[in-house]
Amino acid sequence: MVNMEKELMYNDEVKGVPEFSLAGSIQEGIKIEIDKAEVYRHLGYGREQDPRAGILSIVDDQVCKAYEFINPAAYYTINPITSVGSPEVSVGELHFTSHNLAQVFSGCSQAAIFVVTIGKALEMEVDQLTKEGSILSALVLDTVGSVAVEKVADELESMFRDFAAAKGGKISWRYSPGYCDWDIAQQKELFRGLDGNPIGVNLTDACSMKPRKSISGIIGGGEFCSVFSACRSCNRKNCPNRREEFLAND
Amino acid sequence: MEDIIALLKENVIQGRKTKDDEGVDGDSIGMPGVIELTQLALESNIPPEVIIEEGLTTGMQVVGDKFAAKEYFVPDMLASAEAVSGAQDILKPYLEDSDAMSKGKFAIATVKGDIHDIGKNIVATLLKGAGYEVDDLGINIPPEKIVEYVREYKPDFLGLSALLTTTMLAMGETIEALKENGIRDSVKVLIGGAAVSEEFAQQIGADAYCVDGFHAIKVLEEFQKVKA
Repeated sequence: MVNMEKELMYNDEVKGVPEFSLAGSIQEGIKIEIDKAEVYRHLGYGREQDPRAGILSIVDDQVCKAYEFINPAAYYTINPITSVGSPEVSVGELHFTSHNLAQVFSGCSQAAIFVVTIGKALEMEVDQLTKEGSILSALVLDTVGSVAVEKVADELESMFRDFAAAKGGKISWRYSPGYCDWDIAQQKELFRGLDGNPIGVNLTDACSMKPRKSISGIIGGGEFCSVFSACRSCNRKNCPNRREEFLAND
Repeated sequence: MEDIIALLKENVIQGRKTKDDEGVDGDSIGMPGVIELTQLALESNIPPEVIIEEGLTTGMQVVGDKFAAKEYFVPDMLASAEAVSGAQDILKPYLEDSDAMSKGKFAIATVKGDIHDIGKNIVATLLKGAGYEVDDLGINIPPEKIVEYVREYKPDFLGLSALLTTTMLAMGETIEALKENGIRDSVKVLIGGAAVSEEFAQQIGADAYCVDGFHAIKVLEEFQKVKA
């Protein structure tokens, strides 16, 4: 990742509590590598079960091709967490409603509101493959795009983690509208906190993002942060997003 | 003749569309795939109906079983379905009555406000591979367009897809629009997508909720039995 650290500044007035600068920052030139094992997992294969030869070569081809089409970018703003009730949570001027978000923010004093994307070139290629009737290649390239955008979000998260750690602080789970009890309609409120983000991610009326391969969300930071995971108390045992550590007991 | 049909079935199971495909083990490159074998079967005067029923359809049934047993996953299933779909395109002109071979007309759409394409395309490919005549209406399709289509083209089945809690409501609106126009009973409505459920299907008056494409095939077979 390029020049991320210098964009971040602490406010040293509050000792012990990491305070990020309040300015929004654009990150471009983020370099990512696609983990093929992660692509297999997103395609449905198990941890110990790689795809057969015919599918492996399609994944190889599409991963190779994907690098041409991936243009990662990230934008974030740093905001004070002004109140955490449950389910009402206020971050700067923004108001969210989610019991889980309230739990995630327990012990946090600040929140990074972010959006990351890999741009629209990859999905245009997916649409082209679909038009040509290559549904399998389209699915694989689309999946590579999902893995890539997750990776961009991971990079941003890791930057926040390092930054907080340097001040003896921690960060919370990454959390997005549409997760668990956080209504996806609150994407609109979240985007209000992104200053009309300059990296060109837009919301549809139904709160999907365009480009599709984008992730928006929020990460709390503070002196200590809870390691709350909503999966612990959630009854959706078959949820595709269930965290791995909670699968074993089902 | 039996050899060609057996090979055809085996290559459907392996998802080898052409001679260039690697198949399961990667050691079949250069051997004829489903497309070449279908042509060979035609040249050997095997009736197209036999090619479809004994080669393609029985092959896809094995693929369905492997999928259910978690031996195969969506990509494996798509590889087979695409191979079958290619073979069907070759066979179509040779069928005396191509409608008789079709299990019915299935229209599929992602509903208004929803721009998710992939899941719908997977189901469409699979249904085509299973012998349905599939019409893909596209994504973000408003109820009035669907009503217009159903009125004009009279599909037997209508599949509606939505991924989000914000867009699944448009499925109910679509069913209401069919009712208002007096054509609800002309078509069986199946719904699917990450946000929807069996309960939601009942709530909006859909005929079925399908977990995935193979489940949709099972549901359609049940409908056929009831019809018969």
